[in-house]
Amino acid sequence: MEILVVGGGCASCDTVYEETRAAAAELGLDAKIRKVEDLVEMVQMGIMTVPALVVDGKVLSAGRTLNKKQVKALLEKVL
Amino acid sequence: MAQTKLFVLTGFLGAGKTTFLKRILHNLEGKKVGVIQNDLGKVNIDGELIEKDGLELREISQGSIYCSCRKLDFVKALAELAQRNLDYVLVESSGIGDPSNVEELLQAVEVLAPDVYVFSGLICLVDAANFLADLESREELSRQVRHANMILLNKTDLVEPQEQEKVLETLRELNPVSPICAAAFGEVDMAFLEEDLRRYQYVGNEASLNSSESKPKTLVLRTAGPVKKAEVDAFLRQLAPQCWRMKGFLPLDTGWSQVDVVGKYIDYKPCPAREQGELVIISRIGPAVIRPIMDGWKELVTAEMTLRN
Repeated sequence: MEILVVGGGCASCDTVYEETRAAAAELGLDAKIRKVEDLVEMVQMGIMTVPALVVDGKVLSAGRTLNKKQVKALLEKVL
Repeated sequence: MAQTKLFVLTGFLGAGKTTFLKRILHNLEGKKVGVIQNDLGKVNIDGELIEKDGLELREISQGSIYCSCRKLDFVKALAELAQRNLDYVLVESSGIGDPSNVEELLQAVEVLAPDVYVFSGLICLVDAANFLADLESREELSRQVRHANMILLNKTDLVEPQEQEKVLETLRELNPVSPICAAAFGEVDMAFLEEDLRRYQYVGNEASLNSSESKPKTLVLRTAGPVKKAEVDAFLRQLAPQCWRMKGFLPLDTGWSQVDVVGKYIDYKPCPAREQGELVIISRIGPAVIRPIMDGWKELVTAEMTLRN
């Protein structure tokens, strides 16, 4: 499983990244979690609002600051 | 499809970007032009100053377009304007904007709208009267000058020739390559609009200093008025040292006025009446400016006002 947290340089995006790592750990997921901060990469992915959560190529959330509980709920839907 | 020439204006708070932009727009009368205006605060005062029929205006507020919080909005706005088949797009950055990463942003626009824009230059306006003092306090200023393809040394009417020479020397040290044009009220030869200023490139792309942490505090003061000009003037004079910039429209007893405060300079120009008076205040001292605003107004001005974020 590949989880991408898209967005960088702002507190909101950093929060989502931390909450996602915590959520994935709690769910015991064997996932590669990466932060995408490069603007060109973001735009190539079609992400136009950040922070965004992308799992295995699918955008689960965009433009919302998520907490651990919300991330877990989103991840559970795709497991 | 013919391409769109893109120019980006930068320069510190109050350097004269909007006035210069108005001159450019006047010069481009008859052409199809889009403008992206970027403001730190919630209220875009400058948008009203350039509004005109047929102009495609996009406003991006509450943060610098070079900052992670607004970069994508900027890219989106440029991509959207790319579909309008415009002759020119002009971007007015916020005064606090550090445009070091403008090339990175344009690369992203290329992904969404390939082969539309011809980026023809970053133009930096410099306030001859305030530049040397401001340069010491905010690093964005040196970045704006270093990355510029053309520099306009503006407000030369406010300084003596020796002072102007000192500013010029400092500008040359910061950017030995790009042409520098001296001007007052943003009045220069508009021939540059036909050129590609990019041949004057001193430094390449680097990360912008803009971040949500380095953003100055902005507030909006509103009043139904009318307010006595003498009282408002005293208030502004007292508050000015704590602010980078104040701009807006106020219902003075002498008539509705556009008010501009930059450093110690206060300017009033008549303007059309509006629903209410609004003054955008950009603080030098963070939220600590709230107290002097509230106390100063209470002490010096006899009208009511509200102060909001």
